[in-house]
Amino acid sequence: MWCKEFRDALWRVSIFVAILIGLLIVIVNAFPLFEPLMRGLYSQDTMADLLGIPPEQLLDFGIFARGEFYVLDQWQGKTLGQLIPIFVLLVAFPIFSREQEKRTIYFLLSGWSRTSVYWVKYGTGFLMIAGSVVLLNLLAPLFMNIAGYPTPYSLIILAMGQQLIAAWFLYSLFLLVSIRFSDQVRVMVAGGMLIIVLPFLSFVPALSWLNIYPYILGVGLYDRGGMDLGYSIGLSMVAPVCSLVGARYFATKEVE
Amino acid sequence: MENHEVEPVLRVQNLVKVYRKTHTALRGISFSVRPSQVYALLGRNGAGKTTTLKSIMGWLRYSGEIRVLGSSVDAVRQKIAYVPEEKSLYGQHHLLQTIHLCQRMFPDFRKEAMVELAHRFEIPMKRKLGSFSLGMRSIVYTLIALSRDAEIYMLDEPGLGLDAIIRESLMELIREKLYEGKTVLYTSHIIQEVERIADWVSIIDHGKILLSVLVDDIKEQYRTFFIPFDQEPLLRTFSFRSVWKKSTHWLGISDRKDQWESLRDRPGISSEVPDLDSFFRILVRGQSNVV
Repeated sequence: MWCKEFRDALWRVSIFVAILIGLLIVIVNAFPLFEPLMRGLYSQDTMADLLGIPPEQLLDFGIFARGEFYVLDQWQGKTLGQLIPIFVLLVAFPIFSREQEKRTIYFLLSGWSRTSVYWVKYGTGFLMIAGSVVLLNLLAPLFMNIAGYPTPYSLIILAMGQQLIAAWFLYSLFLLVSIRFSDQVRVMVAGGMLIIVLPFLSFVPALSWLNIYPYILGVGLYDRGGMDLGYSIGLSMVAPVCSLVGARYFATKEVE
Repeated sequence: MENHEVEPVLRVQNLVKVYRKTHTALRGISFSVRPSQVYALLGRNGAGKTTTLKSIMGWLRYSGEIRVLGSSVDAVRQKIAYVPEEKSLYGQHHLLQTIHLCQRMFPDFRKEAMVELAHRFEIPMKRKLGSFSLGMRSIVYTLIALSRDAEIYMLDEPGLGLDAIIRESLMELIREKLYEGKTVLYTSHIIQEVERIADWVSIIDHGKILLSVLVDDIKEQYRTFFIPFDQEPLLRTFSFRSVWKKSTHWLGISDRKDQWESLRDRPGISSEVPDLDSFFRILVRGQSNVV
């Protein structure tokens, strides 16, 4: 069954990963254009003039022209991070809803317990998402280094950690929706709504944590020099709760 | 008669299923299936057959008690080969891939048996299942179930969409399971099919079992009586299992052998040995009569 689940998602995942690798190649190749621009825009003198502060009191604005920052900002922040929620939705939405819509769920459930079916499906989907996220994150510094732009991995790996945790949270949430509806279109619409609505909920102070975008884009990670630990722990606690709720829901849901 | 010394492989007691608090699909169904029997649930569309099977499989919430091989269904799921009403398999797979999937999913699946059956029924091995007709999907799904070495075969309308020849071959295959000591519970709305292969039949309508009977006993235990309208008072005097008002006369089913002679002596009344077809019609249509 692992193989079947893997094969079911393979096309969607492969197409997404292939497109993103294409984008990554473009972004890596654009670095020589970006570097002097950043060096000019954010030079110590320019910034000192702009802010009216002596240059020696300023942070080192040279970071903006470094490969590591470039990957964090242009790739992990502005490209991959933005697309991860959509990617997770693409993988998660048919996992249960398609089986229910196409009535193939009876075939699975006649041989396996619901708990087994849930966790195999859950595990396969998550492994594919996690594998893709890791691959797409690590390819960036690899390509940069191959292209001759020295780029350390350390902060990029931390940003990847945040993206993995965020993807886990979103995946658990979208799976709940996929179990709820036996209609793939509804799952897509509901998942899309979640992606759009969650940031808006952050206008309510108590729900501000629901805006997952700053975390997934790695905002503030460079300044902190590390992961947002509080948020990481919070999401790492909510995600398994959602997963267990999903398992319970699937185990008790009527299969009509 | 039912042998009460043999432990049933399936026991359903007072099964009630209400969908969304509004639609009562099953109204207290009870039956037992003994080993090495073909037990049929016969009923019209929407009678409650599929709901009964899905409840047995544990996919619906219900009230009542269901024991399969003496346990809850979850404990013995791997011993049940199930064919649902919707014969949906993975359309993007061809049969060979489906066979490989079955090998991984069902420990009792016998690949050689499936391949042999697929050849016998001329099922193409390398055509995507999504391009199969309803009848072909029915065959494939049923053959997959029959290729398993299960204890119980639960088949929901296995003859759906099949022509008479193929259906007959499939019914023979199902019947062969009895020689291996297996038990078959299956549903159908095709009376001839049930008459051909079932040992026991429960006639189900509007979520109730109207009658459970050994198929072979129908001819011996029951008689159909044609009663003219002017003899209508007899319907109250004599005891009938069910009566159905036709355009020219009443049709009644009686299991009271002691009354048969007396009824036949009445003017204008005739009787015949019922087959399952007429038996089913009178029993089901008689439900709406008020005598």
